[in-house]
Amino acid sequence: MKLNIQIYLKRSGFSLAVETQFNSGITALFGPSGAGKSTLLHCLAGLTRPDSGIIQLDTEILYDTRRKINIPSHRRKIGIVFQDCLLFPHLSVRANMEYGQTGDKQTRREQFDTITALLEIEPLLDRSMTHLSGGEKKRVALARAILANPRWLLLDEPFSGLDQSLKNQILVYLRRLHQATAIPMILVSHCPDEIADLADEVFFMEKGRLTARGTLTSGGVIDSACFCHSQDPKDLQKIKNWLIKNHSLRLETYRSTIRAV
Amino acid sequence: MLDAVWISLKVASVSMLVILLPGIGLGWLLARRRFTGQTLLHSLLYLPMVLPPVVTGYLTLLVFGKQGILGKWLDRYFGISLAFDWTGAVLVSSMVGLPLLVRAVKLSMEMIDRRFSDASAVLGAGPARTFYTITLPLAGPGIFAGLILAFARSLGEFGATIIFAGNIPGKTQTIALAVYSMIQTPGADAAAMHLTLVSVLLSVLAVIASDYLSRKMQKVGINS
Repeated sequence: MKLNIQIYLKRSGFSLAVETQFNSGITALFGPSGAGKSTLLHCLAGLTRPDSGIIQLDTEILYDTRRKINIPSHRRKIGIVFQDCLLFPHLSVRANMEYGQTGDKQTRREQFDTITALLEIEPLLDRSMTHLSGGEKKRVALARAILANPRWLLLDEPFSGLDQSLKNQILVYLRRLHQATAIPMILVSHCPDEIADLADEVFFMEKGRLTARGTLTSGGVIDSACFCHSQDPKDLQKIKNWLIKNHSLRLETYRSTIRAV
Repeated sequence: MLDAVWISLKVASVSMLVILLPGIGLGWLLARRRFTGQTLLHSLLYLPMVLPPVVTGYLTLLVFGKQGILGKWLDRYFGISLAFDWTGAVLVSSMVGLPLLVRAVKLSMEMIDRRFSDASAVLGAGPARTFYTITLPLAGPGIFAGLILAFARSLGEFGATIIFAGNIPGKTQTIALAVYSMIQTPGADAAAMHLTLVSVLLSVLAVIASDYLSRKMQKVGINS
């Protein structure tokens, strides 16, 4: 599956201009806060409306300003795990997880049981939201998003607010989920070590622009490209160097096709 | 005397039912939508809350009385006459109660994190499902609190009712009106006292219930 996007959006003091293609697999999106990572995810899911552009999933057009197409969020089948989970406080864990499920009863049940086992949620099922820890909330939010059968899953800082051991735990769960479901994912993160083992591709984002892109492998052929210019390269450069050194990240210069907005 | 209690409860309960749907709808509209004329609607809705009830009653009489703009029409085509009937008491109760409910619904819907609706949408729920399964239940305690306030306001309604529905024992005489009549009647002090006690009891219960529900609402609102 391919997710092709051209997104232009202007707000006071901020503009987003991203033109790229996401491939199935896990893509990590790096960048300082305020780079527009969350805004980008919200555009993909239909929660924020770009000023202009195209969002296309394989051959299906989700958004196109020129053709006046804007598929609403609830018909896009693009899931989000929000940074603060946003579990519904008036529903139990079970009811939260079942909320987005579709299909016949048998399938729903099977999927529910599979994901519950995979993420080890059984002991939490009948608890209310007030009795969950941070890590447990993340797991439930992950399960809820997956059970809605999204075609693409967007994770906004899935490790924020968790200590190292919980981070590792969620990392393991994420890997398991991806192996079991093969749902393509885009993962927003601040720390490279969190996703170095997980991601197939890395995108670097600064001030509303994609500045670089590369493929991560533990060896072998690397297909990579680097977008336009980096405006504030200090921190990102460190991350890049780290990934290049430890995870064979390879970046190539790439002529930008992004026009100014 | 029991008649008055019965009429009070009947009028308050029916007017609660009457304002339930419009109250939720208007509260949602004011909390979640932006449209032209919003300020005007807002002011018009809250008018009965700040107008002297006697004025509200008089205006209602001008509109819904037998010779009123709408009242004439209702009487001619439907044979419905609201003035000097218990349904008239329901009408004025609803008018003074509606702003209380709308306000409660508006405030509680504003308190709910809007991103719960986003979360619901990306899980595949359309706007209607999101409203019924997320927004409405989360605002539930707030809505109940508003309903109870409107109920209590109706129990205490005096000015508008006496102008529009009159003070007819056994027909439109509510607790408040009965107490008023008894005070005017020599030797009815004891009866007035009894009714007063009933009135105090009902009001205290209503305030406690409303308070409890508001606190429950705050708990839900914070816990996102």
